[in-house]
Amino acid sequence: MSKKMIVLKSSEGVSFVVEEAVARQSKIISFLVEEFPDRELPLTNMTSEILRKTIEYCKKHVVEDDGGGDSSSSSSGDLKEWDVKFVAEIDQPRLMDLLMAANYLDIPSLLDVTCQKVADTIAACNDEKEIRATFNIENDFTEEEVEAIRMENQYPI
Amino acid sequence: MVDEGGNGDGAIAALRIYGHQDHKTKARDSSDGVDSISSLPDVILHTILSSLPTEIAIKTSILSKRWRHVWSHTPCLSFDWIRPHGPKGDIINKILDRYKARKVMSFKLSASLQYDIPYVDRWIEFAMSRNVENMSLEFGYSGDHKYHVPDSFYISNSFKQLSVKYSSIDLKLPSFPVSWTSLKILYLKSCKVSEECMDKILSGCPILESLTLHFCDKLLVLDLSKSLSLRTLVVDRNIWVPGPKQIIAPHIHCLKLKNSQLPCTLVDVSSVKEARMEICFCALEDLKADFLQAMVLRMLEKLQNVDKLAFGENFLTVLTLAELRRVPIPNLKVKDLTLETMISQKSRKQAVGFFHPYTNDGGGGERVLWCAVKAIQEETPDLDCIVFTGDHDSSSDSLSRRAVDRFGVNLLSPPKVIHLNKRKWIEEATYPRFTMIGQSLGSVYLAWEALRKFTPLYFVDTSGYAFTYPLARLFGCKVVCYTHYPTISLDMISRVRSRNSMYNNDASIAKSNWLSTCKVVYYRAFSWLYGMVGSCTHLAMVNSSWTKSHIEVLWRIPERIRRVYPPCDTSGLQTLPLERSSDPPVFISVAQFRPEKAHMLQLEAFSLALEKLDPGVPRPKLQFVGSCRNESDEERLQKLKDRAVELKVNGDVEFYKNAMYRELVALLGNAVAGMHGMIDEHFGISVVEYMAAGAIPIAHNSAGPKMDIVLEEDGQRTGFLAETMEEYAEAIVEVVKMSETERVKMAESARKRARRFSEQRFSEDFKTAIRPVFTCAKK
Repeated sequence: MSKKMIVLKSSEGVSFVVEEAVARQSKIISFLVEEFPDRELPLTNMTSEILRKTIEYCKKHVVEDDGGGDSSSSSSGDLKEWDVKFVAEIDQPRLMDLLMAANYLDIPSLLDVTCQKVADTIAACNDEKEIRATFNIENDFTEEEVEAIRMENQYPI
Repeated sequence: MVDEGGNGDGAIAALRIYGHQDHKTKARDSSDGVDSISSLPDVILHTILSSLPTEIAIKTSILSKRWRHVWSHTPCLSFDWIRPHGPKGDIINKILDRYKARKVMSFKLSASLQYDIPYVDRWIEFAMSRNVENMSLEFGYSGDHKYHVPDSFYISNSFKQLSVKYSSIDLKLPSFPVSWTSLKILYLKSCKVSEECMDKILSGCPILESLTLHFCDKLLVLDLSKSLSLRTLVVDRNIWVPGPKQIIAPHIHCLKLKNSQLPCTLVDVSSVKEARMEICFCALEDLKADFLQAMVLRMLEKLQNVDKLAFGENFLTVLTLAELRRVPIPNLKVKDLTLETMISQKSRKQAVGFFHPYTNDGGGGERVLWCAVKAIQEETPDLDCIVFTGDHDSSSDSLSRRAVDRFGVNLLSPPKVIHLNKRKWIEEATYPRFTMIGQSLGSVYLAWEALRKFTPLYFVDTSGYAFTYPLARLFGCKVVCYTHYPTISLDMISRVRSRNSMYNNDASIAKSNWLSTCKVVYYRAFSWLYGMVGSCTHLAMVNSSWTKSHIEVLWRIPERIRRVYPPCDTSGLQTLPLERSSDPPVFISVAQFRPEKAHMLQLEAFSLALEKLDPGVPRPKLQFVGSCRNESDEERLQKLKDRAVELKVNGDVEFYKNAMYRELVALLGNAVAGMHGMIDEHFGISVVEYMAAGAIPIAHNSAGPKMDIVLEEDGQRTGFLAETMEEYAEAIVEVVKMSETERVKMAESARKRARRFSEQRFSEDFKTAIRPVFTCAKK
């Protein structure tokens, strides 16, 4: 039995042909495939690069239906390791794009991995300046406000 | 939502609309400087912050207005890292006062029973009042302090997951029935639970699905026949904490049992489909093979219907032995069998083993460990990294997270972990006398356990256990070490010989001639031994010129010694502005209140400097920042305060006890100079931190600061070295009198010099040093 394929189109108009089971990890796509079985799905705010990454993730995480209950603990450990590597290789701005893609397409596990990576990045920063620099956050506080928050966050000695 | 009756275009349009809020970010090149994180919806920011300790999540409130209150609505509170060993009552109270979320999904608390008892009730009740679903409580070592959770804890319909870790105290249940009506997962560790107590808990959890008992004593018969929903049971026993001897669990589907060599009977596990069986041996020598064999076979009989089975290494050993003795083994219908076994010495694996019995000391030694692991992963990606640790709760994941959380070191892959059981042999308390030799021999025993469990190609020691090197050589390893200071130094011997009393030389010994002679002989013998074992290493890296000179004399292998400065994490300090207010000019002194840090000398020098200064110049301030480890530190701090009053400088001196890192950074960013008073400090990380922060160092003219740190950079002075009180006072006066331009110039070159001690530098030098050893071993 041949597997059913669907077509996803990136913002640049590049088409990606993927197995339906792979794409169905996105709850949004899953919904759309059911409603409109034979249509190409345009994802107008995802670049080809990010779409390719997302598909790569979904391919790795697709659960084979015919394999039976084949989810031994070692393979889930391997999968976790793979996830860590997967997000480690992505640079900061692209990670944010991927996180937004996961949110937009509603892929909970990918959202978790990317959020975790962002959390790790925040934790690794020494101070707020480094966090701001890493994520391009603009400081819109006045100096007095910063001082007030600093006082608030100061712990008693 | 999409109109159900709509045509295809409608849905696709909906897809576009769904993505509309992100639309503005669409056209950009993702690498330019756009702040995409702040545009995420709150719920995602909460997900991100949920996996951070609350004290870090709070930090984000200062980022921008968008972030001001995000943390306070995050549905997770995690207080397991705040001052793990110190009082944190005020800190947590202050956080809870500002916390806004109505619903707490997860609440994690690790409390110190010494300090936190007065507050814990309130914290638990707080979490329960917000309908917490996932509650995790851990109570550190208690000593004489006993704490019992409030009775109200036992009635909750919000708990779904509950984890309680005590340190061997009885669970004290209320007189009324327990009622945890939504609880699905229960984890108890090191609690004493009687059978009645267990019954009471179980009957209060009608939908419990998973039960874990780690080292829960007192319970003899674990009867789960009334827990109809229970599917998973995990039990860990060991020889000291026997745990349940009989397990009656007719409804469970999954059993994970780590037994000890004490008897245990599976009375009824008839529904089990998946099992993992292991035995934990603590001392190989008193094993009774016959008994174990009989027990293991009886267990297997009960597991005949299992589909999926895993045997741990020791369980497998016992079975193999039975097979060799031709004892009949019960037939199994298993479909999926996993055998877990360690690679033995003969099939040596290409791996690097890090011998590091204490992986949670949080100090400089641990930073070196993680930086070294990372450097090796970068240099030789095909080698596995393995950490031998005595911390039983550490896992591959927890260690790699720890490396990031505490030290900001991102390992390329999580290290493998091998647990050691014999760590008590290297604990100081085990040896009231002859500590050095006792700990050293103990370390050999511990390394023997490590190497028998796994023999790596390279044996790396970063904690100074030199006595393990000959053993590692015997096991055929290449030995590499990073030494922070010699276990015994030549100065120690001369100090005893000249009968000086000091922190490591008792006054009673200093007084007695005979005892002093004995101690000199002991030290001499020890230093000879130390030289013998140390010279077994293939490569010795040392942290400073001072350590290098001592190790060279002791180990006599100068050609194999390389100086690699330790990784100092100064990146956060390097960004502090160099401009400082000079009214008043602030001097800072950062050190634990330990005797060798010479706080008194600094105080007296400061008071002398105040006398010397002309009345016209601004009067400087001195800030002591440090932590107290114990009561004698507290006493020392009190003495220091008293002395300040005597010298009439108490108005000019401030004390900051147990300051948080962020406070320390703020203080450093405000100081014109930093004081350091310890004689013969091997390296002197605090001095590097002063310099990185832009505070001019006034350091003791010996060892690390003199030989490595406070040296000229591009022909510019980077600070002051002093030895006597007068010299310190002069240095203070000089700094006060400096013009702003002079000061900034010196601070700038000091900062530049501090970069020599960065993580980056460590990594490069470390790789260069190990390269010859690693490449020649590969051939």
